Amino acid sequence: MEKSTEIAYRIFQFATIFLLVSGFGIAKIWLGVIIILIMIPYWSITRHLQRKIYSWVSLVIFVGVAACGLLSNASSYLMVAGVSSALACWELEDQLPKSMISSIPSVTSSCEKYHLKILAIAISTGLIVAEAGLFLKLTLPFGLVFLAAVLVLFCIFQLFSLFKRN
Amino acid sequence: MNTKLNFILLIIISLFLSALDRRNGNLCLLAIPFLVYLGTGLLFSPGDIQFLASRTFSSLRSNENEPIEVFLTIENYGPAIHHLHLYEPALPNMYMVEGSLEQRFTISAGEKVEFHYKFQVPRGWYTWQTIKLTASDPFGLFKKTLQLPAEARVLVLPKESALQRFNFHPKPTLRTTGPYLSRMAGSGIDFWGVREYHPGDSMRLLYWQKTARHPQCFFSKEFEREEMADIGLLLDARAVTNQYYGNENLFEYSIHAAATLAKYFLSSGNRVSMLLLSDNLARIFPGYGKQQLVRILDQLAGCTLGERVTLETLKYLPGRLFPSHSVILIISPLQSQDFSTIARLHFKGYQLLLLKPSPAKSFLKDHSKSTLDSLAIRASNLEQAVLLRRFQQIGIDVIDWNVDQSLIQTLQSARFQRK
Repeated sequence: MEKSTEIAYRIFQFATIFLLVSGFGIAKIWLGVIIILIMIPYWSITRHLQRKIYSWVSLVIFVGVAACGLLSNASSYLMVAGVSSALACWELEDQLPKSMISSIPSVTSSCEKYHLKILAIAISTGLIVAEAGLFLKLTLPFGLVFLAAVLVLFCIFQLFSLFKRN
Repeated sequence: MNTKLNFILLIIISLFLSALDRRNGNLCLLAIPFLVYLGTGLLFSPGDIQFLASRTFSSLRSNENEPIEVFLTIENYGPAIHHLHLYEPALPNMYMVEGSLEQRFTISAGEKVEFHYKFQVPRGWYTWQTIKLTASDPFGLFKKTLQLPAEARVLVLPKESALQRFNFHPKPTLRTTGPYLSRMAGSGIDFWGVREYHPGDSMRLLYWQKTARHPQCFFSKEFEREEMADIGLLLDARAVTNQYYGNENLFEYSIHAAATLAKYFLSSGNRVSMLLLSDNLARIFPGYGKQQLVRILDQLAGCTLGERVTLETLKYLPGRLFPSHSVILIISPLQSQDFSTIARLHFKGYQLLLLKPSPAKSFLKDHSKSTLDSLAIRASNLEQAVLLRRFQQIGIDVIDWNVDQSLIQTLQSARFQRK
């Protein structure tokens, strides 16, 4: 892994733990704090094993714990930020075996820098949009929300089927 | 759709469904970073791909232990692709000396990217048809796999040794003034050695320099006629005779011997032909010189063991391949059933020389774990010894080559029957 990618990975790891622990700590949900703290040794052990499945499981755990936190009145801002950070961590960890493939350091370096740049843009945009959504308090009827959700999912599936056809 | 994309979609759908179930809008917001991540992937997904690829090698013919360098060039005539993954197929028994078979890179519009790697492979013909590339967005969510045509072929020749001295003197079958064409007639004789003068020797043959050093004696030079023999190499590529323990086989030793002997006889000016006794019965008709050696080595490079061939094929031996009274050098681990076929060739008037590679004694010792194994090996050795003795009794020269020893050493120490 490139040094910049390694640093970014560590920062996102720290941010995930810090944001989620703070969120649960402020709401005094100690079970959440314990689960998140357990993830620290889990990360350090599974990273050496270099199996994709472990990083995927950790993302599911973080999303699940953050969702539970949102339902248990933990800070939404911190939960959303924590999940965004966990997503970045997962993406960087997923790139780890691939970064060892190329034998030409300059090629690897340029590829990883580009990846890091795009990831930073995607995560920060997602975070800003999600946090902005928390500021806007709109009261919508359930039917409208349901329709909106169905519409979003339909759009996603249409996009993928279009992509698949091409 | 790949697993990563499915995984992200599953998270988004789960969050949406749980938001609807719990009637909590904040859960929907948790899905937004994932949606943006997905959208970014879609935005940077590869569109129109126009690549031109080529594959070149440091040499198209190489020897077994020489590393081969491969140069891959990819030129982009379309828009920039941000994430490319190149896969080169791994060859059987391939050993990577330098570089890697997989590469990740980005390529901008009009850019040309070059990669290289080095590898070693055993003898054989190796062909490549395409270069496999996977283009994707930076996150690897949307992938497109391409097979770019880049045909190439490399020939890895078998290992051969330089044989300097070999006591086997075949009876000449060709009376020519030599293998090389000349407009001027030559003497047609080659220097052979020096001996003491015998009364009647021509004065032109006197070796004055040596006579001057030894005032009491006279010495004469001896010459030999430039005579050549027709040498036929018959390489036994039957799986039934070559495999002796599991997948272990003697075929590579036989190929090494065939390459070494072909080189030796051709460099001595003989006319050499070859018959490969495998499923496709490769034949090389008699020829001289380096070109013939190239033809023989090319065939040896690609030959494999045959399951369906038998030695009975030799009943219909084409006269053009092995001319009458020529020398046939049979390289085979031999079976007791082969005696009659080989004896028939001998009685037809061919001069036969059998080179029999035998399994390494150390290997057999290591694998004879039980008493039954050691008895079986002993019985097999006795059977082989009897077979070789029978060949010798009818006047066929036999070289039993224990592959523990070097081929050169075995050939140089071999003794032949006086005829």
